[in-house]
Amino acid sequence: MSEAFERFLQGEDRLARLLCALPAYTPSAEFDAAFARAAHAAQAARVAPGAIQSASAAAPTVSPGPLALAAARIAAAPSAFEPPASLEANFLKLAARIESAQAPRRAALLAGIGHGDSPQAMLGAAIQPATEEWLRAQALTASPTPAATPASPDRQRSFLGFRCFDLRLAAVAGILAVVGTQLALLLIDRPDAPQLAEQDSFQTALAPAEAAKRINPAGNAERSLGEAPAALKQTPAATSPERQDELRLATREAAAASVALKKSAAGAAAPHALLADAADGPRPASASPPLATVAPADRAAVAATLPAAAQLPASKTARPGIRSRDTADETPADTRAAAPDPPAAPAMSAAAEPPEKAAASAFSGALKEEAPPRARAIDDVARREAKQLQHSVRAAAALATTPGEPRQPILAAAPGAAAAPAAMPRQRTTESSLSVTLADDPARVASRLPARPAGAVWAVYSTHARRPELDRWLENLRQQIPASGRPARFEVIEDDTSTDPTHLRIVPPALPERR
Amino acid sequence: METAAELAALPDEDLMLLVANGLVEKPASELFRRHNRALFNFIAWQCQGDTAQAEDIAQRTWEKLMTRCADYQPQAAFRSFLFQIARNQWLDLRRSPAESRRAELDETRPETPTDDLTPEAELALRQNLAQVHQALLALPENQREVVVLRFFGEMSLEEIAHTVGEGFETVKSRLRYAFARLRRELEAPS
Repeated sequence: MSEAFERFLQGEDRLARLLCALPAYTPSAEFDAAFARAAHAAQAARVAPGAIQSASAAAPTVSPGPLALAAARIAAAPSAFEPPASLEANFLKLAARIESAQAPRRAALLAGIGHGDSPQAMLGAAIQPATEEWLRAQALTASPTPAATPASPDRQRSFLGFRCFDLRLAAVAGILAVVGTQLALLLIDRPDAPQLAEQDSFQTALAPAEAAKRINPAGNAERSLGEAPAALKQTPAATSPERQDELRLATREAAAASVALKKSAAGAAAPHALLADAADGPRPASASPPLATVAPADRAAVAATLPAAAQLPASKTARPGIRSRDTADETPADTRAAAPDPPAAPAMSAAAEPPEKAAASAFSGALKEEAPPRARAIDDVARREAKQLQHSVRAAAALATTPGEPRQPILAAAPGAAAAPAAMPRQRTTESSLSVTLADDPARVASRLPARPAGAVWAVYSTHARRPELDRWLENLRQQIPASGRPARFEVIEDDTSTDPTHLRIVPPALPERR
Repeated sequence: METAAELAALPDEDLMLLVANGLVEKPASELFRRHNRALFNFIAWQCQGDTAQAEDIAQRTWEKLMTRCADYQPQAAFRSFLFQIARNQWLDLRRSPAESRRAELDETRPETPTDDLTPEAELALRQNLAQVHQALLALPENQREVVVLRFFGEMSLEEIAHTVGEGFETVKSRLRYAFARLRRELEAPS
């Protein structure tokens, strides 16, 4: 490397001096105008005219770095090219925009310094003491106006002392509580369908035994079955909610009774049919087999009802409101209860006739009085169900008939039975008693009892009527019954048909007849 | 203003740290006031006197400085960082890769003078600085660049090397080539 070049690099040779003298470059007219604009804008932009000179003079006293000195020297030296004023104006606009965009970061930095944190730690690098002082001054000027600085995330989310997260959590909990309450109310309003069917089948199975002891045996069955829908139809809107619930329960009970009769018939025809039927849904073993828990005397009565039960399809067709189990399960219980039923008058008038004849007349009467589309639909359903159950009905009737006794000409007596099964004389639901023991839970027994108007007198058959434990148990049972159907009292009647002193038979009162 | 005066006393690197931490407007204005003139001059030389293009490149440079300030390393000299941005902007706008390769290939290996200019030659050139100006503009871009940074930007060789992204010896070599070419151009009989 030549010595001349080394001197050139150090700026000590003549060529270097010539290069440093190059501002002799002659600017164009446009450049002169731009320079004038830049000078004017720089003058206007600078708040203090002597700021540059004072800063340049003060810089060596604070931190006179060689680069700062070089920059000051470059700024003071004449240059061949001067930046236009528009460049500075654009730069100031851009700086202001970025300044506003960086507000959160700046606020966090100044807040940290205002809280006593080290500026060096906040910036993450070593800085001059003058820079630290300047930052602390900025933090002090920024802290008295907290409204100008954005609030911290926690303060932004808080409202009246609660964080938005808490409010959202409370809102979700409230919604869940409302939904849960409504669901619970809905489940309470809708008793378990299989359990209800079992209860009613059990009661219906016991009904013949009760019917044998009473004067009005079978004719009231159809009437009682028709009572609830008829009552609903007679007072569709004017009835009180309690009354509507009561009627709804009565209708449901009637429907369940017909299902129970069907099951009884099917069970008599083929024992495995009950098992197949039980597979339709979960059913507790303790409540399932009604026949097994029936007393021997009642069992005979159940067998006696089988011929009547064999006429179930006709009953179902005669009362469209009471549908088959297969079709009824497709709709909710409340929907079934609320569905308008055909007028009860034909069915009730048919109740005075012989069963098969009454069934036929009830069916035809129902068809006549109903609106054509609905009647046709019901007729179709009835026909299909009649065909499906015809075989099992005959078998059940054959099994239930006492040997030597001529079989009842059920289907033959009914006119047009092949097309439409005859109506079945139903057992009265008022006679659906419930056999329990004192060991049973009163609450559970109360849930199995049929609904009756409040203030009625219920009959209780027991071998020992006057017993304190019986009275206590009955009072406990009465308290467990809902107020809308709570009986005024239980009338205990001596009954010597049972030898078990703990055995009771609860007979609800008859529903009031409506015409 | 008191704040402007206080900021004028702070080093470039601290001001750049303030910009990177959200304190943008005043520190950046101070940096602009300090370095924009040299920056623009450098770009204008690189643009061979095209001040409109130099203004465009300078504006892009300052914008990038404030928006990409997270890339700044406090250990690096601020001026190197700033001029590097400007140079990259100029390279992106001005030159195509083919031109860049041609500039490198056009480098000749002139013989380096061993002595200084004579006083008579210096006097004659001082009376005709336009010739010096033209000779400087006639240098290849990479050589003109290091000369401008060295004598108008007052940068050390290390700073130049950092700014142009080359090694120290490369910068020195380019300066040597520029020196030899300028001497040859200026000593040649007009």
